[in-house]
Amino acid sequence: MKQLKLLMLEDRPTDAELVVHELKRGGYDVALTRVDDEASYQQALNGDWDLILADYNLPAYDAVSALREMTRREIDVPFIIVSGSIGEDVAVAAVREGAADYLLKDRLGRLGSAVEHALDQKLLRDERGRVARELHESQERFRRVFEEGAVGMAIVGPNYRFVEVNDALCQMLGYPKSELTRLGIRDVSHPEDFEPTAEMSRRLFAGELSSYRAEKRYLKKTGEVVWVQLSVSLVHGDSGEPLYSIGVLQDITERKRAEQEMQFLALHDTLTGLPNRTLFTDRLQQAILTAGRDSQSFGLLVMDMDRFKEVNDSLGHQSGDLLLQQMAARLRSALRQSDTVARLGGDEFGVLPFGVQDVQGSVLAAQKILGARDLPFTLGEATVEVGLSIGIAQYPEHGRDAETLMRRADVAMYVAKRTKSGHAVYSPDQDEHSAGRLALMGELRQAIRSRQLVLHYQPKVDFRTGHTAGVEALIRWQHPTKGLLPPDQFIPLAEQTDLMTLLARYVLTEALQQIEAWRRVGLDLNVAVNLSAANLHEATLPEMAQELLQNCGLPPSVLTVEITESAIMGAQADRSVRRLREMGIGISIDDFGTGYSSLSYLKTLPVSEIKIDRSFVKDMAVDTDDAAIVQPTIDLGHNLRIKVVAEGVEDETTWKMLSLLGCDYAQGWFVSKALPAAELEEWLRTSKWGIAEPIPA
Amino acid sequence: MSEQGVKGTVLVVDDELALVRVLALHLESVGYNVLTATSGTEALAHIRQDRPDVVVLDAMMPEMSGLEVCRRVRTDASLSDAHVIILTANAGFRESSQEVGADAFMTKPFSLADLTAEVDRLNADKPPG
Repeated sequence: MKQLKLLMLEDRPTDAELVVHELKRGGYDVALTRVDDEASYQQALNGDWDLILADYNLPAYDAVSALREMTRREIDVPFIIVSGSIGEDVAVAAVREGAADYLLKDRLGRLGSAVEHALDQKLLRDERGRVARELHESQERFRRVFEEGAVGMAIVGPNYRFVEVNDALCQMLGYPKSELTRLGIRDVSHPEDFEPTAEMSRRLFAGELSSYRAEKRYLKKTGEVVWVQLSVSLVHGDSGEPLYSIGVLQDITERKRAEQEMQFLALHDTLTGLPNRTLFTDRLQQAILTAGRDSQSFGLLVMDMDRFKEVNDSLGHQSGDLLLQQMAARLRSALRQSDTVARLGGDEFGVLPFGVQDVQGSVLAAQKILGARDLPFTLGEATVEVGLSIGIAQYPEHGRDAETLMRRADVAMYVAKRTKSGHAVYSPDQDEHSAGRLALMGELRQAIRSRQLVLHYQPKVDFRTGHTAGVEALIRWQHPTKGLLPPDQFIPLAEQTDLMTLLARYVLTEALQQIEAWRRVGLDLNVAVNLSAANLHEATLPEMAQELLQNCGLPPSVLTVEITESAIMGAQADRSVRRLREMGIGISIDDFGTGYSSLSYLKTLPVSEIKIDRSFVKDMAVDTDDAAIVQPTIDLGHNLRIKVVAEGVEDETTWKMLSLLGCDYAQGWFVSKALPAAELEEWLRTSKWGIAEPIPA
Repeated sequence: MSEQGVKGTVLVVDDELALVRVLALHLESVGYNVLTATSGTEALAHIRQDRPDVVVLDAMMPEMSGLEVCRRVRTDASLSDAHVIILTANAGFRESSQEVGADAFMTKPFSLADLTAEVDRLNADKPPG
């Protein structure tokens, strides 16, 4: 049963009942409201009706007036007139007035279908209204989106000319609307980007595409490039013919710029602005392809700084960064624009010299680079000299792929570093020595734990007494397969890692325990232990030394720390050294003459001893220039009340010269090489250089 | 610095950096303001610009020898105030150093005491002011 809210304008209740009866037969569940005068009709019109049935003739009112009243009030309810008798002309007039239908009371059988039809008509009217409203709204929406939208929009004809553009697009391209609408797509496209999208548009109009998206560059009126994300679709006419395309253009210049920046960042080192390892490897691979095709040769240079970690540790990271930047600038200016210079990481750089045809050419490039690092670097208030070691590998003789070339240049660099030669060209016999380099580093930590590191002791003899006054503890690595390794084969590597603190603790512990053991058997000795810049940089070093001395029950005077001139650079190192000295530990300047010492350091730092580097002592008997350094150094020490130790005393003449010059202590093979603890103990008891009056064990 | 203040300015020139450093440290400790150079060219630049009172000059250096530096200093009237001590490992250079106008000559190796004595002597000889 269909619900039907019915308003009847009828003065006779029986007639109304007849109608209701008839409607129920037609399948309607009727809710009837009957009125019979104008006032109550007016009132009832405010309600919600599905249908109005009006008697044509009423004593107090009439159907046509009622219909007019409804229309006047813009109410749209199906209105059917019912009458006892009426002429055709009246019926037509009523329908013209807006009545849905007209029925005779004696023909009520037609009522059901008339009502059904009227209701259907109403539904249709409602639907049309809705569609019209919606169409209007949607057109309005589109107009607003187009005109006020934040994205650029354009309607474009098949001839690539603008039909309509919005404000956002005008703003994006920097044209007034009147000007832009006179232009075509070609006029505002980047010359390289017009054809590809024009081709897409052609296919769009040809029906091969329904829409497309693209990223392309447009040109502003000022000539500036605007990157745009473009999305184009086709608008068809009523009969399906293509009318025009509509494009939505989003300014993605910022995003593009960020992408390009990201790409630059991904391939460059931010600190120095040089290409990074990724880009360098790529260029290397390109060079291999090109050279392979043209049967040409080229050189690969890798290099790192010899004292970078020291600078970083002693002067701080900012100085280290400054040094890297200055080194990068020097490399860049020492080489040609066409040479690739890259920072491979840390203090490691790589160079691909352009157009180098043979090893000689690569060596020449290396020499140019070495010339660039000759001047000292100024880092804030400090001035430092930094060495550079360059390894050279040549394509194709040293390798035909990037990985092999890089590895072999690395091997050569390590050789250059070890031999202090500045640069070295790869040769296969170097490989054996360095193949285990990385493996060795991995093993070192383990070696400390498993006590593969042993200390040997070299006596230091007093010229006045001719007897041993102390020993220098020197570390050796008793490697399970490689045998006994001297410190220069692993300490420079360890300095690149975080193992130095661990090593210092190990060496101090071992040395102090040994000294304590010797004291118990009547051998009273001072022990000198070598510390690196990294150790001095640790604020906890003095505490550690104190703790270890206390563990062994030893006075601080038995311990001397040997440090190089360069290791004292920096505030933390300075604090560490002063604290150690305050505690009563001896401070010895190692390798004196090979680095910088400021007078104020020697005077105000409580330095107890300087050690003249073996390179000056070794040949002083035969080389006057060396002797010319040794003599004033001894004088200088004594003037400053500092003891002087000569290292590298290898023959009697040297011994005698040093003795005459007033040197305080001698170390060297002429006296004894460094020995394991047990052997040294024996030596101390039996040698004429041994302990003056050893207490019998 | 000495307690009396700066005695004068000394330029130390030798291609052996270690010796330059030791001599500089020493001369500084006895009260001199010290400049250093490791080549003849660098030395000449210092002499022209900083007008040291005494130049301690190694005779044998690659490129421009100390003797040549001394000769140039002596031929430049504006530099006539500088006193030059020639250092050499070769006693045979004594005559040459006199020829180029050196004020003193010391044979390597030498003691710092001897060097100080020579520097002090020549420095005292400088014109007043």
